Parts: sequence; C-alpha cells; structure tokens
Amino acid sequence: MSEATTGTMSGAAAPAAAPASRTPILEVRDLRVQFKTPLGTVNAVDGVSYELYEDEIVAVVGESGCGKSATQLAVMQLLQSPPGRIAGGEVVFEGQDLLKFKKNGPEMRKVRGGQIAMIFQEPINSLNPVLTIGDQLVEAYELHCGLKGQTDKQVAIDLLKMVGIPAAEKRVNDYPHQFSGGMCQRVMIAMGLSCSPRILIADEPTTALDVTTQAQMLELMKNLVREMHASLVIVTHNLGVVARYVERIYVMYAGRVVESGSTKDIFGNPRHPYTLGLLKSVPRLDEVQGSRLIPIEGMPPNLIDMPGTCAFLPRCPYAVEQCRTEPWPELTCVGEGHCARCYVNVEERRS
Amino acid sequence: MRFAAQRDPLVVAAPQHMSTRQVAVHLLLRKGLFMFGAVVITLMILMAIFAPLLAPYDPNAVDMQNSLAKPSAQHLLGTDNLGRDTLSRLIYGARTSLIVGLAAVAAAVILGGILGTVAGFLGGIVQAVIMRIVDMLMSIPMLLLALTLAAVLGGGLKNVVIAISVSMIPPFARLMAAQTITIKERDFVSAQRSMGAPKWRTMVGTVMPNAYPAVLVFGTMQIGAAILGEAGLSYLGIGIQAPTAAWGAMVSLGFPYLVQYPLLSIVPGVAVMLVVFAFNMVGDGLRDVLDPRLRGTS
Repeated sequence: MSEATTGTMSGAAAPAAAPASRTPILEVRDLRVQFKTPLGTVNAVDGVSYELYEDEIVAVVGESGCGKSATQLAVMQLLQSPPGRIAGGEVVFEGQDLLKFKKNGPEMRKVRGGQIAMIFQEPINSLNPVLTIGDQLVEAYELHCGLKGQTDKQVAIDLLKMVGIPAAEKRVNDYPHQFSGGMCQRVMIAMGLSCSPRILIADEPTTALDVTTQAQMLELMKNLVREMHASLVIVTHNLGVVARYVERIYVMYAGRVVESGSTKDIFGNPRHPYTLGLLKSVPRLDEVQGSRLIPIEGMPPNLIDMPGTCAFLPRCPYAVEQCRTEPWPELTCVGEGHCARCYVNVEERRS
Repeated sequence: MRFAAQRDPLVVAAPQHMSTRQVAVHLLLRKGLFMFGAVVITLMILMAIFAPLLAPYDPNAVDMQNSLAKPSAQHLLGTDNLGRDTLSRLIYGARTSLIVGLAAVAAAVILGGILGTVAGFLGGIVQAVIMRIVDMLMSIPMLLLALTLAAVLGGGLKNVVIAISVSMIPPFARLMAAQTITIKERDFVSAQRSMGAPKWRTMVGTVMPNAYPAVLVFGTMQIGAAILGEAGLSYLGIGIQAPTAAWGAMVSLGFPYLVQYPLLSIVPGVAVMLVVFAFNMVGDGLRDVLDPRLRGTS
C-alpha cells in the first residue's frame, strides 16, 4: 500500500498506559439486551460492562451470536425493535446516559454519526446503490458539521483522498457497484470519520473482505483514529487479525464478558478456558510445524434457557466440581486490569 | 519500474465504462416493440403540441351539408354527424388524452408514492391505517370509482383528471409500500441511520430513489390505463364535455351510426388502442432494462 497507510505503524500497539489513569469516554454498565422470539426471550446481552478510554483501540471478540454486535447496536440505539429491546443498563458517553435519550430523538441523532460513528460488516450493502459515492459520502458531514462554504463535491474528494482512494476527483461520481469491497469499506470509513467522531465502532469491518485487504483496512482505521484522537472499538471473531492493532480486548461468550485485559495479558496469560480455546484455534507463526489447530468442541448455548451455571461448562475441558454446583462466577480481577469469569486457574491447570 | 508504478491495483479497478444510462439506452434501442411504442408516443406528443398547425380544419367547425362524408381528398378520414372533420378532431383529441394520461398518473404517483412510503417505512399503526383505507379504495373497480367521482364532481377536463388519479392512488400506494418494506431492511438504510439521519431524510433520499425503477415502469403502463379511463368516461358521457374533442367521446358519438358508418367509431377507437399499446410496450421495455435479472434475456 501507499506510504499514507504505513506511516505511523509501529509494530505492537501503543504503550499500554495504565487505563485507570485515563478518563473513560464511554462506560457501559450492566447492559442488557433482549430479543423476543416465539420460542421465548433471548438474553442476547446479559449484563455487559466495559469502558473505553480516550485514544484507545479496543477489540470485542467472540463467536457468532455471543452478543458482541448486539452490544454495539444497543450503544448506538440501533437495535431493530421489535424484536430487540434494551432491558437495562447504562451507556455513559461523556457524562450522559445515552439510553435516556429517545431512540430517534434529536439528541441521539446528534450522537450517531456525529460523536459515535459505526461501520458495518458488508461494505457493499452499506452503500446506497442508486446514489453516487460522492453524494452519500458527504451525508454525515452535512448532517453534523454542515457545509461551511465548501461544495459537497470538494468535501467528498477530500474524504476519498483521506482513505487513500486514487483518482478521487473521478471516482466521486462513480456508483458503489463500480467499487471493490475494500474500496467500499474505505468509503464507509471515510463516511464514519467525516465529522471527527469521538468513537468509531467497527462491527466486523474485515469479515467480508479478503485477507490482504483486511490488514490494510485495520491499518487505515488505526492511523486515522490516532490522527483524530478518537477511540476505536473493533468487533470481531478473529483474535488473530486484531492482535497487533488493539490495546485491550474484551472476550464475550453467551452475552457476557468472560475475560478482559490488555492484549498482552489475553495472549500471554489467558485466564478463561474460552479465551484459551479461541487462541488455540488461530494459526500462529511460532507453532511447531505440522501441529493442528484445536477447535472448541460443541456449540454456544441456547440463549433462551440458560443454565444458572457457567455457560461454557459443557464445552470446557478444565471444568471442576465447583463449576457444576455453583452459579457462573462474577468477573473477578486477577491482575492489573485483567479480569476473568472462572473458578479455575487455567494457568495452573495447564502446567 | 515506471510501468509497475502505473499499475496500482486500485487504479486498474477503475473501469473504462459506459455510464449506466448509456447502457440502458443502448439496450432499449435494440428492442423492436419498445421502439415502436416510443415512436407512437413521440408522434402523439408532437401531434398534441402542433395540433393547430397539423389539423386541416377547425375541429369544432360544423358543416351540416357535409355530414357523415366518406374519406376523400378534402376530409382524409371523413366527417362526423355534424360534418366536423374527423382527422382534425383526432389530432386535437390527442391533446386531451395526453393531458389526462400524464396529469392523472403524475398526481397518482405523487400522492400514492408518499402514502406508500410513509406506510411502509413507519409500519405499525400508521401502515395499518393507510393501507386499510387504500385496500378499501382498491375494492371498488377503478372505472366505477372514477365514474362515481366524475358524476359527483361533474364533467370537464380537471374533474376527469381528479377522478382518474384518485382511482389510481391505491395501486401506486401498494406498490410503493411493498418497495419500501423491502428497501428499509437493506443494510444501507441502517448505515444511514447510524449516521444520525432523520427518518424523512431516509425516506426521501434513500427509499424513493431505490423504488423509482418499479414506479417508472408501472407508471408508464398506467398512463395507457388513464387514457383508456378517460375514453371510457367520455364514452359514457360524463367525461370531457362537447364540443371539446376527446377520443372516447368520438367513439361514443359514432355509436348510433355503427352499422351505417362504422369508421366514425373505429378511427378514434384504433387511436386509443394504439396509444395504450404503445405505453404498455414502453413500460415493458423499461422494465426489462431496469430489472438486472432480465437484462440480456429475450
């Protein structure tokens, strides 16, 4: 790629400044999301809490259906309702509880796209096929920043240049179907960042893209977010892809956070069997040649009738008697900013 | 090395394309029936615009001496029972038909489109109320509804347009509601919502442009139906009032002389048929071009 996207890349993520010393820009507390289905109520997000600090890049990791996207949609109040419903909790952004705002009220609309932007999994489907790239690119800018004497075309061209699309002057007049998936995602990133939001939420931003583009996209997002002093939340199911870009990781399972910590802690010293399983299922360069990836056996639990015990129990190779008789443990911290929801000390059991 | 630098993958991806519009026009020109329809409609429009120049006689000039004349050099299509030149009346009648067809459909598209978009997009109680009213209107046959309205409002061009457009609102509203419901589930609508766009903006800026191909196709075909509707109303005597030339009224006028002098009804009848057929063919052609799944077939 061009030097524009490689400029500030410095190998590992930025120095892990002790998060406690910074002020959280977004604090989610005990968030609950339910989906009403004919078979019963699905507790898609069941008491999730997390913080996001200024200038921080965080990943939310987990399998499909573990509530990671639902959490982010709830933060933006974008859940399809019915059947979705925010059943409780707080989303404190810059001192205000976003959940107190009316879903489509002007305050919430100002936050959406203006202060918290979101980009989605399928970039091609996220663009309106009948409008030119230029026309839709400026929409968020127009809504939140207003065109201050600039023409919308100039704004669009600048935005396209920002995300490294060549021949931007020509390409503004193209339609989405004339763009590749990676370029569409660049457009979405440009759109999301057009008004310098405080937070960018990227919901599986690389899933629909091929592997070579994935790295470019993450690199681009990281660099732009750094430049704008925004925070970035990357939702993904691929721990490997995000490892070098994020500072902290939240691992979710069955609608709850099962482990959280700095990237170093999660990779070097995972404390929850699920995290361990995720790590083992990602190929590594330092692995013995010919060794196999170890999948996590079984399926995530049915979220309609959850057992009172640990939701990972049926799939857990480390389970002890305590896991079967006692309820799912609370998130307990085992180190500086490193918390896990498990009775077992996985570290000890492994050795 | 310089060559390699030029071949940036992203630049290569930029196609040396024909614009979408050029492709559509190119495809349309290859369709015989579409071209036939387009030519007929163009001729009709020209005829309507230049009626005073084209018509050999004043369409309302009565010449009792010369009533029901057979086609001749003086009167190419003969004269009617009052001795008025049929060709001149046909040419002026094109104006009436075209005005009614375009105006009625335009009004129905706007009103039906807004109702359908709002109903489909907001859903819930709003949708239920709007769509049930539309269903009620739809249960009355179109011509009967127009007939009732025309009878209440009285004849005349304006009232005929109102009557026909009101009777055409339900199908447009249903089409638009159905389109809106599918479009609003697409990702770019939630993406737009995530940017903080208000609902009306999504409706006008996103839903409507995406629904336009379907509405354009259906609207074109409905122009034919509206012209037919006007002819029907005029034929029944509650449409365009005499002596204004209108094709439906001309058919009706020839009715008493059907055995003796059938040409009087046949000429305007064929004109109506031709124009309705032309609008249908153009609509068909547009559908084929605008629907990517049918593109390239047939």
